[in-house]
Amino acid sequence: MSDVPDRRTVLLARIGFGLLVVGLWWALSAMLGSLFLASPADVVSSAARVLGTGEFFDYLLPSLKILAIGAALGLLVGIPVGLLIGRSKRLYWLTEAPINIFYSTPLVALIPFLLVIIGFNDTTKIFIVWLFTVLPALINTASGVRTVDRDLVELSHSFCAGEWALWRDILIPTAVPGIITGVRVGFIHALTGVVLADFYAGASGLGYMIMRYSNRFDVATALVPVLFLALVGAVSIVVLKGVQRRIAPWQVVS
Amino acid sequence: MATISAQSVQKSFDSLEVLSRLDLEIQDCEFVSILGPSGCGKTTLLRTVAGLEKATSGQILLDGQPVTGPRPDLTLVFQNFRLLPWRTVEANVGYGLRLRGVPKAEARERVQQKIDMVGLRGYEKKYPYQLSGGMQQRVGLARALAIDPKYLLMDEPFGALDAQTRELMQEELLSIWADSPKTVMFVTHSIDEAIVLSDRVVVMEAKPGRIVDDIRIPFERPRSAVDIRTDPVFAELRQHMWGLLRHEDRPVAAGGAPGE
Repeated sequence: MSDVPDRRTVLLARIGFGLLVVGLWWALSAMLGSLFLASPADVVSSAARVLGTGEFFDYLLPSLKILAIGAALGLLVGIPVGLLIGRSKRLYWLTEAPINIFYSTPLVALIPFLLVIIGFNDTTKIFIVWLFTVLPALINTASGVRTVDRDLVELSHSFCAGEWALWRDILIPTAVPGIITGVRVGFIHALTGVVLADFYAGASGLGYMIMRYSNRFDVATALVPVLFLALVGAVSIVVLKGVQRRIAPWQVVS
Repeated sequence: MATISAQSVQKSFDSLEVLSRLDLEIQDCEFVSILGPSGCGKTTLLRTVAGLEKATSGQILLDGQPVTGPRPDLTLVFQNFRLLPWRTVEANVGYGLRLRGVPKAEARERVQQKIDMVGLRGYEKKYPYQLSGGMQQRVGLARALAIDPKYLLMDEPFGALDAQTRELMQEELLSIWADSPKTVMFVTHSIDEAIVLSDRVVVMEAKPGRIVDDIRIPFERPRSAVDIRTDPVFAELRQHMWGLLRHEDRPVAAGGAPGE
């Protein structure tokens, strides 16, 4: 992998890119005025304020709860079902079309129906986050299993391995990169799901914070949860790449 | 008693006949090479003996028992190595032992012994992608031998290696086999390799796959591949087999049978 730049170059490039974004943001906010786009400095001071008073955490904790439960349930269902669908050709052909139709449906469009059916409560919010997580987890896991080397399956067969040993030695290790991608994409979708759930299904959480301060034309404070979520998303990607590098060292990760 | 016995084995894929009522006997601890051009069904024959393919008609007997599927006392070495990329050398060699529930301490000892045998000491913790092709196939060989099989089936095991590595591996296989003889079925399309390694060379022809000659190799064991190659008998055998295979070299339809 000689065409991959070294760590220092990457770090410098990232810092440079970050500065560029902040610079553009600053210029844009100066042009538009703070009513439409708060400047980075305004956002920082708003962040300091809501963190200092603890107000931010009153919004954060409900969202964290919804995110944790919804995403965990999404992964808990999506990964095992994905493993099964990836393993069985018949199950795959049977479920491929409905899953793809479901996956390409904008899930936001379902939220009004969920509200009517389940109600304006945390259950609906958790269900929304679950919906956003489960499909990416399932699809990526299934395609991970499906990349299995048939020669290795035959090898395991030739050593008289049973189904359980086949899973342990061949299928699960094959699926690891797909599972990690599933967790990564699922989690990012879950973040979107949380905000949408807050928008539609009740007066709590980070999404509600965004709405509330936007409605008051306090753009600087409304941007605090947005930046926070972006940060969480970025950190989760870095962490999961690290996990992948550690548990799947045979996979070249750039 | 014949330990491997193919009795009028016939195999077709759809309407294509790959093996045509083929008979073959391999004795206990005999090293037999199956030599033939691509598409002659030699790999299919090996896979049928291994229980990975079912004969369309006829049967294979191992120690008098008909083959119905893979057996715990038979292992394979494949041309494409088939190592588990996510396991170290050590764990790959121990793959079969773990599946058979061999106690850990004993397994560790046997794994180390096989790793030493194929000359990979010091590479125990490496992953396959960190090894050269020749080293990877040593791991494949050690894995196959670790469970101490009665039957060792090798499908062009050195076919993916460069010429030099290939000769080295032949030399090593000779010495490994001299230390603990097994019943070996060795598929190859290399005449030299077949002569150097085998007690008998079975020559096959394609369309449909059948045996055209069965040649005893007279060299004493233990052998040295270098000595054999310079022996006048080697040249004679080589020429004879060339004659058989050259006869095969007419432009038959392209594309071999599946698995070739």
